[in-house]
Amino acid sequence: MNAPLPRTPCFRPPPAWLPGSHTAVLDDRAYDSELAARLGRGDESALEALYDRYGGLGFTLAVRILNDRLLAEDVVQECFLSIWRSASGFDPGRSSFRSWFVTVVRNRCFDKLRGRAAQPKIAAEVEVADRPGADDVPGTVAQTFTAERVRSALAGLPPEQRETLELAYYGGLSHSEIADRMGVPLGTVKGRIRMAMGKLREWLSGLDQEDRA
Amino acid sequence: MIDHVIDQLPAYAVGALDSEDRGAVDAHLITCDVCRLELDSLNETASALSLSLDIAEPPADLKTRILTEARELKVAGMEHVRPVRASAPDPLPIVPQQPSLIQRNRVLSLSFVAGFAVVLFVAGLTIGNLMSPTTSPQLRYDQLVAAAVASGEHVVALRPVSGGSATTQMSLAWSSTSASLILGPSNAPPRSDVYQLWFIRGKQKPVSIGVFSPDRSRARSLSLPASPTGYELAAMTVEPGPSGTPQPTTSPFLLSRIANS
Repeated sequence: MNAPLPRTPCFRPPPAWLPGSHTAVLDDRAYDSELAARLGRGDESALEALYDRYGGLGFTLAVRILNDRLLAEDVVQECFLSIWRSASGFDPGRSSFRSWFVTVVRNRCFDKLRGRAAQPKIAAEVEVADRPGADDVPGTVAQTFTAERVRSALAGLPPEQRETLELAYYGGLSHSEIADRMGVPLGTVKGRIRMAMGKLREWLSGLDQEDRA
Repeated sequence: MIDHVIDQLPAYAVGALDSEDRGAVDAHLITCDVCRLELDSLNETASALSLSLDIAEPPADLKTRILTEARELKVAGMEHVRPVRASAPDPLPIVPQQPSLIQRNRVLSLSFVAGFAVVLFVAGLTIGNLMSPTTSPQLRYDQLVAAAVASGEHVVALRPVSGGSATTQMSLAWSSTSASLILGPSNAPPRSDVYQLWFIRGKQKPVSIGVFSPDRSRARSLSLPASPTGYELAAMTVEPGPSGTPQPTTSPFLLSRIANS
């Protein structure tokens, strides 16, 4: 069940393969795309591999949004099974699997919240794994590096921009709801999100380019 | 000159747009490669936000549960690669009608009601259930679509919006005299929510066509009270049941340009 997956020669080795390396793009889009393609052909080992790479991430995000571990389990299970039934919503030409999967999980979480009319979440308590995604060691190493750089980028944002972004992304609040919550004009909220996203994209993109250099 | 929506895309990517703005952006994205590329890039940035979280360990048995259920689904015949049929089967008779599962939206605009009042009140939204007890839902869906094509109807598949999961298969089929929504085996919306179909023309507000709940266990065809002809887009959203909403309150999860309109 846990046998290593064959990797076709057209793929470069997963980045950050060696612990301690700070090189490379931190998720291997080509490898994920291949896994997704195999998923579409009913390859169970591809489903398992994708779970090893992104199950922990999906669960973490779901717990953060839902503040409910049991509901988060349901979401992760539903997302993987919906992908198993049909992965045709994923277009590798448009996005990474990670980005697509995260969006699927997030959308499903907000569907759940609407279903139970829950209030927007305060920070959820989660048990932090000692070794996240332990079955996929390269992916784990990559996630650790990625987490650090995203945290650094977020820490570089002005606090009010960071808070605005998090209310939207994790709380599912709209512009006007955030404006009400923070007691600031609508235009201010729009500006904060625009600036925050612009800076994050620039920083994360810059780091990727440094890695490739 | 094209009015791009670049300024709104950062908020769109993190889900912060209010529903009206979101609908306008969705409509624009259908036809604008420039904005779609920009959104793809911003979606990558937005998804990176989740990577800053300390990864929580899922329960040890979650993976086993997922893999076990996936295996059962596969054994049950939920094929991943569906056979391509060389020719369409004979057109299937539309079997009328059982009590409405699609409910007429009570909050349609006056202009819309005026335009379609006769159809709405005379025909209503009704169901033609063509499900054979011995045919798999997926095969039945394929047959329904093929039958519509074979009978010369316009057929457009509703496509998952970027980031959405493709667990729902629906197609619009219409001719000069009738229109229907063909439903594949689809997940039901959460709890008391319903799916709501909208037609959109230009920058006008989306027009509600009706609400319904799909069924994972069968494929069927629903008669529509309005033809897509003259509209540019069709969109499907999840809205509060049982009657839906006057205007969309969520982003479409299925969206398609209506061809030959």
